[in-house]
Amino acid sequence: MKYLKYITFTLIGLMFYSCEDEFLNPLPDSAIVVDAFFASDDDVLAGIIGIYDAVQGVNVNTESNTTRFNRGIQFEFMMTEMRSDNTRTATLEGSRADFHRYRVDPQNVQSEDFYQSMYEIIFRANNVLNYIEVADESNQSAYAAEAKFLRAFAYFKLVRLYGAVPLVTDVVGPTEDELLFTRVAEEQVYQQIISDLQEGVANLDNSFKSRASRAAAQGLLAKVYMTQPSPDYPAAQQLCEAIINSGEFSLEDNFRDVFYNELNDEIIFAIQYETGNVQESQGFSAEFTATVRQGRQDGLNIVNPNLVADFTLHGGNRTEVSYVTFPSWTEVTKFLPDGSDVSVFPPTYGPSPSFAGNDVIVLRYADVLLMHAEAILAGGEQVSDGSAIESYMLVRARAGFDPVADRPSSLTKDALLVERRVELAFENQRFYDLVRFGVADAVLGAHAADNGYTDYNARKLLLPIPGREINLSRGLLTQNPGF
Amino acid sequence: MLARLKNGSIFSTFLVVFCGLMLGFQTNLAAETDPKVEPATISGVVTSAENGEPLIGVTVLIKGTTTGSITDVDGRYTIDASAEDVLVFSFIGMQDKEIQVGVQTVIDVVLASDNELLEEVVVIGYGTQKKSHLTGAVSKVENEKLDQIAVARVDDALIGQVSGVNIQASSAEAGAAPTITVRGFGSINADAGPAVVVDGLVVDSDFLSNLDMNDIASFEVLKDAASAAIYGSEGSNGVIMITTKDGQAGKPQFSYQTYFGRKEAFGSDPYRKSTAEWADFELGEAGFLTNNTQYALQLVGETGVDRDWQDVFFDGGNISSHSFSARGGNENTKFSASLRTLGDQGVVITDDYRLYAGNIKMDTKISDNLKFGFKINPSYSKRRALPTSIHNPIRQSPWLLIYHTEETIKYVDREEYPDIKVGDYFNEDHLDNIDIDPTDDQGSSRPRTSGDMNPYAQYVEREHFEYKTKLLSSTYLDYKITDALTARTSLGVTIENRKRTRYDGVMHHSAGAGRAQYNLQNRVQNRIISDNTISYNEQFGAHGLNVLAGATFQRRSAENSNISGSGFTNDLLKNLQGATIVSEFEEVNFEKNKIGFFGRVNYVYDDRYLINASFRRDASSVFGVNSKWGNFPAVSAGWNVHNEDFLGGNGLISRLKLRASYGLTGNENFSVGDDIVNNYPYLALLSTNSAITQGAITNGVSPLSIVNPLLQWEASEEFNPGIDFGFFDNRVQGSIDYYVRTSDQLLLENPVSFVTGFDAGIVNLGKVENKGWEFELRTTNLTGKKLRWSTTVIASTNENTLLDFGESDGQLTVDGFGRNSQWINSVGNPISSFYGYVVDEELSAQYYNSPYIPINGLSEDVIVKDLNGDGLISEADKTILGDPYPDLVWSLTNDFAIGNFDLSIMIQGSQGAQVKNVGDQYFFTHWQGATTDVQQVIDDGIITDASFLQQRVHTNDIVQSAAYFSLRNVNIGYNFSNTQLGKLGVLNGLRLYVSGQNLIYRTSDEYNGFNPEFIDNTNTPISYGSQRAGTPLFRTFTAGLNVQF
Repeated sequence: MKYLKYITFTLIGLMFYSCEDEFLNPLPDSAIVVDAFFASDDDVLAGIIGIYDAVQGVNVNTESNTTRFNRGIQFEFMMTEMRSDNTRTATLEGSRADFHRYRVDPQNVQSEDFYQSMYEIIFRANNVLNYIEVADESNQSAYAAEAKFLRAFAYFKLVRLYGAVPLVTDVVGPTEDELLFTRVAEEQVYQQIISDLQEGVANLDNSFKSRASRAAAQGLLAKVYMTQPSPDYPAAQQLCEAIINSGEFSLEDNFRDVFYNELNDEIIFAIQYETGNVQESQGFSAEFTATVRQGRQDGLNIVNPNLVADFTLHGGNRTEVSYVTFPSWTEVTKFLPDGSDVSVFPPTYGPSPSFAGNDVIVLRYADVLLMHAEAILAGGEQVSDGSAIESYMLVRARAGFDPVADRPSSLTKDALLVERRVELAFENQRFYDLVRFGVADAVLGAHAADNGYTDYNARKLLLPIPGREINLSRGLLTQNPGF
Repeated sequence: MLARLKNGSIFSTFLVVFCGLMLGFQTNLAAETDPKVEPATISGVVTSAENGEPLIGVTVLIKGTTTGSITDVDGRYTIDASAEDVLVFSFIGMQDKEIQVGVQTVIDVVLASDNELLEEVVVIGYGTQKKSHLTGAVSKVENEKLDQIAVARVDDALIGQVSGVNIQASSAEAGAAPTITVRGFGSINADAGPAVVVDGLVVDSDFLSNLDMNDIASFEVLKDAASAAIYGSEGSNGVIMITTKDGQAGKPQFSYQTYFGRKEAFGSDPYRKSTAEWADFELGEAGFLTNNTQYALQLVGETGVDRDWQDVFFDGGNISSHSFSARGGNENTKFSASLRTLGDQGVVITDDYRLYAGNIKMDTKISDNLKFGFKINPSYSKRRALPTSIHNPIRQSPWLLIYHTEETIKYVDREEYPDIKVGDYFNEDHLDNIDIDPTDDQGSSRPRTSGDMNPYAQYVEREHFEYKTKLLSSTYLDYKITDALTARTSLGVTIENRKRTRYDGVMHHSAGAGRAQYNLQNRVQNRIISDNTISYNEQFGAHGLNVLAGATFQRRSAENSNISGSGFTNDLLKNLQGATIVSEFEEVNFEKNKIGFFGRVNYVYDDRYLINASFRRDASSVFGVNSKWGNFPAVSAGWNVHNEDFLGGNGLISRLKLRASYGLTGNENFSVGDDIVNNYPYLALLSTNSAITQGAITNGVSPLSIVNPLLQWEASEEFNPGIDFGFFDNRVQGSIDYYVRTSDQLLLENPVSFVTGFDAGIVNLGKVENKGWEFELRTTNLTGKKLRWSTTVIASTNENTLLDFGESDGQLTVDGFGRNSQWINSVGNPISSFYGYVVDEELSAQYYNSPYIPINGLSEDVIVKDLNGDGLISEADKTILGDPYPDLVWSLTNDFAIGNFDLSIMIQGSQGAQVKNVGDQYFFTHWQGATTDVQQVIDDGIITDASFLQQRVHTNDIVQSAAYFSLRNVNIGYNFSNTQLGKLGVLNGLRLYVSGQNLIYRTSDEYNGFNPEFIDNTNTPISYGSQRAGTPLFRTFTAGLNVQF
């Protein structure tokens, strides 16, 4: 007994001390410990997939109620559909109801989340770009082009929604105020986007639809050329024609199949989701497609009457796929969750509508065809060029219009815009289209006046830079005028 | 892996020790039963020489044996002894007395106080100290009637008991932990709660729910840094030391304690909704009734239902507790064992908490210089948690029924809801638009408050449970090397398994089965602590010396897993078995280790001059390779002026001690919402993620966080002068303390620009000062035999100031609700200060749309003040609107004893704090009252610029006083005397009592919510103090019984 206590003391004392190094430096088994972030070709590829994870965003229906959660592109419809004349919210409760009334303030949670999400994409891309040389030499240029494509994808959204924004093309630390808080002129941001996408055009092929491809880079670049402050329509036309002439894409015969037959021939680039998987699903289908609310909110993306009016005239067979009119609502029906049936009443929405797997279509062939016509229109009021009208009519004919009888002798800007509106409704195009066609203030001003949205003015076409960024910058970062 | 194997060896070592001791222990028990010759029953009363009062708990032993007894509440004892036996009477603080039995059968004894021993002993870090030798700020609370307060957790019973300790009922849910702060908020991002030490073992504060108040002897709170510094990195927010009861030598004492209580919620009057009252108001204001109100009145007329949802949800509840204990032993071995069950139904529907706990504690002397002891305290609890914030269901319309009836079904919009039938959950949205009065031009509409969910289904159809299985255990070995030198080693193991299940049933949401889901979370946390000390304690004439040296090793580990299922079609199986899709899974494990070395020297000269110095050096695995170690020194000194000759014989002053202390403590804890970042912030880590490409899941990685290899200890420095005083033979006694605590290099998750790719990074930044006064006064007003009365006054002030915040000074923060005013973290002000516009005046009803549509609706906008007078409202017109930290927390307790009756009354309150009550926005449906035509308001000359209209939730309108005053606790008891008990046979003591908590609770008039103390759990220390009305405060009526036999 007497020795026991000495043994105990010695054991305990020595035991801990002898392995102090390990004891004080434990390593986690639930995250990857690395000296440098990436060490092999596989690591770099995993890093690139990690950028898509940021694009995809976190489903708003996950357990976590945290506001800053990176919803990725899942909130984009609020910035682009609800801030256009297409849609609104059902009630006025909360910050989501501020978009359609043009009263988004710098503290708006969803706008802030979107801004953060885009920079998360940019950070992950910049970070991987630092490790490209670790990859196999044969893959290096494609990997770099893919990361840059995604960086351009994010900047293109930022510059259209927020105007001049901080432009970083490398990893920046939290103290590099100059880079973090200097708003770089839109022209410069576009230059960066163009050079990033040109690398995609040069170094990517068309082996993926759910990852960056040459066609995706071409299509996005075409849109960039037409959107930038001094549009380059010939370059855009050339890029559209390259896609058209590649023969790799075609319109689906049935408009419904575009949305429910994933990665079909019409899709050029889509962000994919998986039904029922909390981490990999999206929440917007539940939020805006159901007459009986399947999402968390009281009803988002409710279809405005003037969009219904446009569909009535120009929708053709697209109308029944795009929305459905219930006794007191008009609801979006593109992106219905798996297992939904809106033909019965009340409609049913499948086993797991809040964890929907519908893809976000970023770029599809119909968009490219209409961009082709737009490029030839080249900012004019109308065009009688045969190939422009041909591209336009391909889209209309699929919608059920007669290729001959309904073919106009000249294509007007208004007709093209309304065609884009009904073809691409609820696909995050309308707001950008109005801006790109130079009619945003005229159209949205009239829309706001009609609906009593008294907060509207032309300055509200830009979203406010998140207030927290302005605060953190201690005066370096300037707010958009009017906020 | 190596470390893990070695840990195994500790256990095997202890197992050997343990088995050996159990053998020795058995022999000790066997030696107890020596036959006696001609025993007679001796009885008597033991009283104190000082005041003639009976002494409770005096040990009466037959000399040279282990046969003994203990005096009861009346000082009475009985013992069987022979004429030649000598009885030894002993009691802490009294001189032992020996009496030969002889022919006597009644032996009444008067014990004189032992001036040397009378000194109260106080538990301090790794030891004890005479109270008169204390040089730091340590408050002691003896458990006298705390066990008669009907609360689910021991910390809830401490409200108002200790100066400098603020216990806030931050969630009033059954079984939920209160928020405890000692001397204000020091840390910003770290857990600002104090460390908890149970019988020498540092445990997570959650273990406070494991303890039975009936087992607790006393609480000691180490408030100043000098007292807490021996705990180094555990001590930066104070330490609560808990000492549990030991067994006493002699006949085993059994006791049974029970109480039964009824809890009733207070609710909120401003939030009460009534269709009839609203109609009256509307008629008075507008002169006519809106279609919606007419509609609602018509429904009320048919259903007869016009009640506030508080009446449905705040259904009150019962709380009951049963506790059984046995304590006893002989002079070598003492044991204490108890069992307890507690049931608490809370005051909200579905709220429920059940706890079963046991406790075994045993100490044994193996030989004259070797002691061994262990303690095992397991518990199991099950709690049904509130599934969502209470504001959600309660804000709904007063005319809304739970289920459709024959009366309501007629109003259903059959086009949209063809299948709704009587008995189904009733949602507002079911109502058809109807033009109630076709003669007016209002057209058809339907009444609506908000939301399309049935409030009742939202709670009842969701079952969220939390199961906890916990074990607190420790063993020690104490070896007296010489009389003065003692070595001690102890091993503590705590284990907590928490399982959370959350089932949202197919009916919980109007959308039906598609929203049904289930989530299962499992977390196992272990903590192993080995403490090893050597202490030296010697008196050289007038010089007293106490030296302590030690080392402590701590390993914490946690394993978390999480899995979710969806695709439920019915409620038959409310778990993963009923799911058709497994939709989420996650596993996160981590480890956090610590090593500490410490020493302390305590020198006393002639009981007059006291000096204390300690030093601790800690290393934590959380910090980078070069910043793992931190040093935490402390010094303190005291002067017992009353022991000086010049005060000797002074009839007025019986105690006067001046003391001052200075010390440093550290903190390593912070919580950024990611367990991996919390524990490995200095490592470059990749988190795994995934994306869908070409239809398949593909794995990806991305950097987890901004790595900070330079992260180091947060340090708190505290200076604490104090005075202890006693007058008139200590009939009036108390203490006054002043403290200044500066917490520096705060561990903080500080916001960074999104452009970095992250939203925050962990840094050491900023400096916070907490300073204040603490005052304790205890007076013995009456000491008669029939009537005794004493009074205790406790008050503490605190002032929180941010002294430095580096580049982040002036930073604005928001909470998770995302729809209210901000906080500012600015130097010179409290850390989290509410920030926003100041209301100038209300906008009159004509300017906002449908002012009478939602019942109790208010305008969204108010007119705010142009503080800088530039004619426009901008960011510059925002100002600090208040802060969530109380300036003054106080309590006043009066204890009376009249014959066998006693009465204790505590009133308690808090002043100076504000709360940001976002509940107003929901209950007054602000968003419905948007301003229709701003230009009209300008044209009418009411405002000069549109910017003068700001949302009400961005103003001081929702920043409301959190002050309160409460009749916190009343206890009336009756102790049966021995004569009365004699008739009942075996009983040694019997007490009956009734008590009440919060019988009165008054909040400020400007506070509208359910509980001003409630803090939403999404709050962080830099955006602290907001709520959405909170869980309701309640009062409790209790009746209880304590029996000893």
